[in-house]
Amino acid sequence: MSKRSMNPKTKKKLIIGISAGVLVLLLILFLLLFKGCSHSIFGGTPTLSIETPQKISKTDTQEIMLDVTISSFGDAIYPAASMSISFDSSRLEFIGIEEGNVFIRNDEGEIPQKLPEWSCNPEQCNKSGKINIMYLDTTGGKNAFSKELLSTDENVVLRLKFRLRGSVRSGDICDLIFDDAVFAASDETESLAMTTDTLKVRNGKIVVGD
Amino acid sequence: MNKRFLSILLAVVMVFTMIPLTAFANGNALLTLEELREEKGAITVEAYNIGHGFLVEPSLYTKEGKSTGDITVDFLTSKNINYQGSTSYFSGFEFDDTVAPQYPDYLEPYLGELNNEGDGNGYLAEFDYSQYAGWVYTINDWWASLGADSSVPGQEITDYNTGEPVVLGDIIRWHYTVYGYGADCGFPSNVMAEYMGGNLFTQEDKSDLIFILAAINDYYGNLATDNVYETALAVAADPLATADDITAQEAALTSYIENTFFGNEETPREAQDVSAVLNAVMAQLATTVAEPSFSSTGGEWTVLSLARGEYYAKNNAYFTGYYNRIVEMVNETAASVNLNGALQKNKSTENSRLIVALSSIGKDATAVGDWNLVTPYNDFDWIKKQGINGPIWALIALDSNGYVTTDSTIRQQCVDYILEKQLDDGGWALSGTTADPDMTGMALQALRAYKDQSAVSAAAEEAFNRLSSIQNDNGGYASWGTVNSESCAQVIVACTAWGINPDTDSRFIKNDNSVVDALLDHYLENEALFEHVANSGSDLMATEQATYALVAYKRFMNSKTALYDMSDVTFEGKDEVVVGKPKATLGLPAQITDDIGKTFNATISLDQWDNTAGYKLIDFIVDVPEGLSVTAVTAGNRLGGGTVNYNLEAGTGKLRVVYFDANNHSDITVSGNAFPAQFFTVTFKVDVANEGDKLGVNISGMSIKLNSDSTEENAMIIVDTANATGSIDVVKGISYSAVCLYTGDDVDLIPSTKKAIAVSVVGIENATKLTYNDGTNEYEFKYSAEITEKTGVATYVALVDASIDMIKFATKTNFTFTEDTASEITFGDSNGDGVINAQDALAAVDTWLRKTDAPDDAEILALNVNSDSRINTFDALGIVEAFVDDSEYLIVTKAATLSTNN
Repeated sequence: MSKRSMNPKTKKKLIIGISAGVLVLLLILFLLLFKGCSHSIFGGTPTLSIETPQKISKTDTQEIMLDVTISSFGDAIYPAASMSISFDSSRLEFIGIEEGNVFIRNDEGEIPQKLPEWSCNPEQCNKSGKINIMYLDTTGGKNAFSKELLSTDENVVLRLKFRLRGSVRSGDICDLIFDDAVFAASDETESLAMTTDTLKVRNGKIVVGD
Repeated sequence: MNKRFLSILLAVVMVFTMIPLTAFANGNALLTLEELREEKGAITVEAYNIGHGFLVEPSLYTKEGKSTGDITVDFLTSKNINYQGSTSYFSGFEFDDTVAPQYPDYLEPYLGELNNEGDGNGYLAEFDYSQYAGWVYTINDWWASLGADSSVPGQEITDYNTGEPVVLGDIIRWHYTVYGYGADCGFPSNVMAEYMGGNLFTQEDKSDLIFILAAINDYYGNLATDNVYETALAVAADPLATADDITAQEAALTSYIENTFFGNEETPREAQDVSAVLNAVMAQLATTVAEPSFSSTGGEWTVLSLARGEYYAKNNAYFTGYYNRIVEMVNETAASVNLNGALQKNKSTENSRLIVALSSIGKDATAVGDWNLVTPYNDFDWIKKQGINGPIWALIALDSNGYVTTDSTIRQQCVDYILEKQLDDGGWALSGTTADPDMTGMALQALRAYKDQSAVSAAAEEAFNRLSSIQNDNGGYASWGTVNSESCAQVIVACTAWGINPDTDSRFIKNDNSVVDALLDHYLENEALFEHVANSGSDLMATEQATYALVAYKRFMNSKTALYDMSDVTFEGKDEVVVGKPKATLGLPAQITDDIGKTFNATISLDQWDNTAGYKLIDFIVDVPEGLSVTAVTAGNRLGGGTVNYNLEAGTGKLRVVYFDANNHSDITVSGNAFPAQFFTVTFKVDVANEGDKLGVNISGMSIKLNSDSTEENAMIIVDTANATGSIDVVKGISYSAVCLYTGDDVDLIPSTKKAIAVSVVGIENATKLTYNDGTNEYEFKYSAEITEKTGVATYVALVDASIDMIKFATKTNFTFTEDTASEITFGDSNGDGVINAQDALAAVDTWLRKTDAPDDAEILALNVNSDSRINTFDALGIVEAFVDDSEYLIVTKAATLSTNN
């Protein structure tokens, strides 16, 4: 077979064809990745977040309310949930929690109008510098969290209330760090938990200004 | 030889003569009632309208197709009774017709037309006692207006009233009428009565009852030593007997015949075991009513149920918490009512309900807070102010602990009042004239202690017959027209109080349904609660009553005292009752080594705290034994508002500790609700100690101060430190001590064959792997860092065979340890992931709900955080509290305290 040079026109077509092919392959790869890894790459894993507020003046004596939101739930129902959040109790005073807008199942009727009653001890939280909050449904799932009760907008699980202590200075950043969080299902493999990476968390912070 | 033969023959003849021959009348096996009725009918002659019941008691006749007249003649002949008239019309039967009549009440309006005696000819005959008098007959409930020779029992004839064919029955009854051509016999089918203004009453159909009586008379024989037959005969002779009474007597006689003559042929009903339902509902009740208080629901009845059901020991925090709340309530309410300890001016049952609950937990009602709850019972007017409920519950309350009233006649007044209120039908009701099963049951419960009074026993017999007769086909009861669970509950409690098994006694079984079955029909298994009426959903009041009824039944089955018979309860002496006074406990290791420099801890806990009181200071003294020094005194992590200061006085060994806020005088607070709570930890160091020494540690002079004004009342509370004492054995080398933390009770997931134990080991490195082997049993122990940290001595736990003697776990030769690290247990961490969170709390709930597999030994140890022999929702709540309040698990507190007292 004799060797001969390629026609420039043909060469150009070949380059365009290969490029198009590569692009198609990349697109297919992209779609496959999107489908297969949606939980880890594209935010499919439920995420519990502390919504960071705007900078707070160090002289502000008002209560600071921080929403704790959940992005989604899995298919299970979650009769229990807890979270442990570390904070600097020398600069922040934890006042307590307020209810959010994520409902639990209601065993008294069809309308899901029931909000969970979280257990929390602010005094102990300030003493230990750790906010421990837990919800436990003792009815066997009749008052559980589940995904059909989430709204399409922001889902606030609960709200954390703080007040700045006199010791804060301008420029301080008070971190609120999840030590642990779980939305527990009866079948533990279906739970959303920090310990198993089935629940992502986004820590929050309060930035102190002048 | 002949003599011997004759004597045997004579003996055989004598034996045969003792057997009731009537029972073998047909020469074959004994017939059942149904079989007998195929062959026989029954006949009576009755003179109830002149107050003489049966002239001849019910008798059998053979069904041979004879007319009523012929059957009657045969019957009279067999009884040697003369008659007047013919087989068509009987004008008189032999009778002393000079006797004074006793006319029933329904004839009262017509007494002017009735005579006081007959004509004295020796026959009870037509025109005796009135111009209307004469003999009429019925066949079953069919009124016969034709000659006795024209009717044949069992044959079809044309009814003269309706023109319709009718098949005649087989029970012939001759009635003596004195007014209205049978209007005084009360048969609706008697059209003649209509011409006389209608029947004077309606007589219920007694055909079946009469047949059974006749069968006993002429076939089976009345061998009973009790009065079953006589009672039934009296009902049969009463023209006004109700259908319920008649049915009850039929059932009683049928039962008598079956038990007496066919007892070996039927399998007796076996009493059912209600333990599974009872355990589930008690657990749910304990959860639903987490903090019982003074209330008709969610209060005393729950306490009674759980105490008498032995769900909790009487010194359990559940009951002590309830009692503390009661003391507070009584002090406020009794003062407000201001009536000698009455909690309500018009309702003595408020006191009674509370007294019953207090008795069930061993609390003396004569010293509740500042009040004696029994004193108002000296006023009978107060007791009865709300009607029959008052005396009933007064008796139950007073008898629950043998309370003495100043007026010694009070009890008898109550008994008499209750007897006086008994209705004609044998029962009791809050109002009206018809027996209510609830009130009848309660009255019987109250009267049980007075059964030796003949009037009481007679009333009770009538009442139980009444309860039997008004029982529904499904075994249940209706009150105020509604079939409900509470009525069943009261009947069960009444039966068990009187020694009647409500599940097997034929009087309380209808269509093979007992009253216990009927109660369980209202059980909602998914919720472990009871409903009030069918399909109404769970109801707390229904659940409480059902629970204590099942408790009563189980106690009866286990031969324990009745529900309200608290003679098995140990009561606290009045002098021992220390209301509201905090108690301190001391936790110490049982042993330490004689190693110089070795440290260990003593923990001091209190069983209560009032955050609202505004306490400013706590101080106390620790007697430190010679050879020990103190390296630290720290406050528990739940204690807030102060700092610890201390000093060990050289020479005296007195460690003085004070906790307060010297700068801001803040209130001392304790977070969380679980008690006892650890307040302080004292860390000791061994300076000098010798093997065999016993080092005593004692807490004294502990006080809680409100302010500095010592003259002010309540300025200071002295803590009870009587139990805050202990001792430590000094050992050399490695030594073991063991305590039992709990033993399962088969109620909630922990088998009674297993117990949890804690073994403290001095002289080894913490967390060294420890194995027990006594040649028969082998266990690998789990290291508990929590208990170790608390006591300062390496402590391990394991779930072991409950039958192993505890001494074996303190025997050195049964243990081996290696340098490997032991597996560790963290109480509350059910899944062992190193984190205690909602997953663990949920595991406790799901385990109790049986949504998951039965827990293995490691899970039992981890989940039973309150150390109470069961895994239930209390453990779940314990995990929540520990998580939220940073409180210590009761099992850890218990392990340290038990070590001290071991």
